[in-house]
Amino acid sequence: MESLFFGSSDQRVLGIYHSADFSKDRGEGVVLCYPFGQEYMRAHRAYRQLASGLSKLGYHVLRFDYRGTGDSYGDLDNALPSMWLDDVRTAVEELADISGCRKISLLGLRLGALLAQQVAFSETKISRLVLWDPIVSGQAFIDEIKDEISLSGESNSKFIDQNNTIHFNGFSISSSFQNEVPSLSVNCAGTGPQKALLIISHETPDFSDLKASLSTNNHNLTFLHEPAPHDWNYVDHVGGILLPSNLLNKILEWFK
Amino acid sequence: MIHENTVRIGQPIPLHGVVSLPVNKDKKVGVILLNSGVMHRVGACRMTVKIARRIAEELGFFCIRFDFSGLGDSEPRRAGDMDFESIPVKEVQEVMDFCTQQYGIERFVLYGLCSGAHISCKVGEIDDRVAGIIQIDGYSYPTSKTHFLYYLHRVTTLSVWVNRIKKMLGVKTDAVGNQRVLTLESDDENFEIPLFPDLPEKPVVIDRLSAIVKKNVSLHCVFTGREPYFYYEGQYRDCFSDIDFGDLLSLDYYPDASHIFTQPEYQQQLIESIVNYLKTSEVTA
Repeated sequence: MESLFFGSSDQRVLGIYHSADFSKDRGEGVVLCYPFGQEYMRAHRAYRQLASGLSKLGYHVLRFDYRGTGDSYGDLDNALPSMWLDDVRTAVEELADISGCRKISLLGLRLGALLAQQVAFSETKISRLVLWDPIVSGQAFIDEIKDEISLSGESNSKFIDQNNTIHFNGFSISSSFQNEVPSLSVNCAGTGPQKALLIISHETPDFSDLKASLSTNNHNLTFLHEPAPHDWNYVDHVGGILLPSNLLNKILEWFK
Repeated sequence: MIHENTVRIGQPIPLHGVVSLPVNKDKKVGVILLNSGVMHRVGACRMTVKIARRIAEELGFFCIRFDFSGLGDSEPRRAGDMDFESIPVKEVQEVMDFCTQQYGIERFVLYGLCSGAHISCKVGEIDDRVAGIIQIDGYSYPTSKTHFLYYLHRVTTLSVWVNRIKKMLGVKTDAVGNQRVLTLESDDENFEIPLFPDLPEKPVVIDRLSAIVKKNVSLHCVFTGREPYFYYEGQYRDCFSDIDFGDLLSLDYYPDASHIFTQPEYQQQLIESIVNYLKTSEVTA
């Protein structure tokens, strides 16, 4: 495991590279796309376990922080979805460079899945796509957070300020981000990856629609429903994390 | 914009960290920011990153944030004959050695939230390179005034009575404010929370803090929330009244802030509080 900064010299992105187990090297890579906010904090350990498991299976893996998040350059206030899509593309290039892999897969959870899907359908080198409990559209992402604020009542942890910035459990979503994110939605038209996995921890109408859409577009889809905790965006007072081992194992099995 | 680099500390299983390098490298005092609980080095609500960048950029402090072995991006290390409680202390000392060898930093301010605060004090007790300690929700104990205020609050607050009546009527409440309460067995299997060692007996902490103060190490303590361990403004001085802190202690109390600083106003206040402490204390002297 090796940590590195990559990307433009004045806006660097932090990545953690797990090289493939030497004896099992498949010459394929996987880029892991994190979710957002508290979900990112909670998913960090799960992603490390996934990365470690994939490297043991012979994959080269890169997980990285989008600009304005984690250890990467910048503030969340200035982050935009288009920047994060660029970060995913840059990470794909970086992994191809450092590993020599020509085939790269993308895996994302929640907002990370939405970003991964956008890139997977615009880049020919993406061989596989894993969508884990995906957010199916940018508008759905914003609506979900606003609904949560309405339901729980505004507090000084969850509110919308006079600049229309959403503050949610310690992280902010600027009005510029909110204006841009609705342009993203899971759209499976066109040439996509050779294989796709939709893995969900619970049933929702959005997931059913997505499954139907992916199936009709003949994307060699595997669909798995693996019941697991999925309440990623909550706050506890100790910073506990989620580690849905059964679901992680299913993803690893699919990559086998 | 300050420059940051990734670092690997120690062999054969290195600790992973990120250093924030100030433009002016005159200061021989650096700041080490520790993990809290099971959160990785970015810290709750990315606060560790925000703090490191601000004090490196504005005050010119070298900063390092890293993951203890087994946390974040650091692989677990073989424990050998060290007990669980001493490992983090040894690892902070290892990081101090690294910073001295690689960056010429000779003395250190340690920053920690909760379990990170406790580790900071343990290191400060035994290592003379520690110049200052910033502890957020660190050691504290209830006093008789705490108990009085706590029960006074309970008998005079409507929501406490409502919840009590709900409980008597068998109405299940599965959430407290915006905090999650585990109710399903399946959740427990998939959920990881920090395994905190028990809070030491108060005399142990009094000895620890006394040793720190004796070495002229300054303490900046910030407390949040209204919990028995910190319930009113003067509680820290009351519960450690046996210790003569002199002018080595500074305190800030945010009763309405959450433990992991989810409120933007308190994130900003915490950063300002730390900047102010580092500006005015004598840690760099």
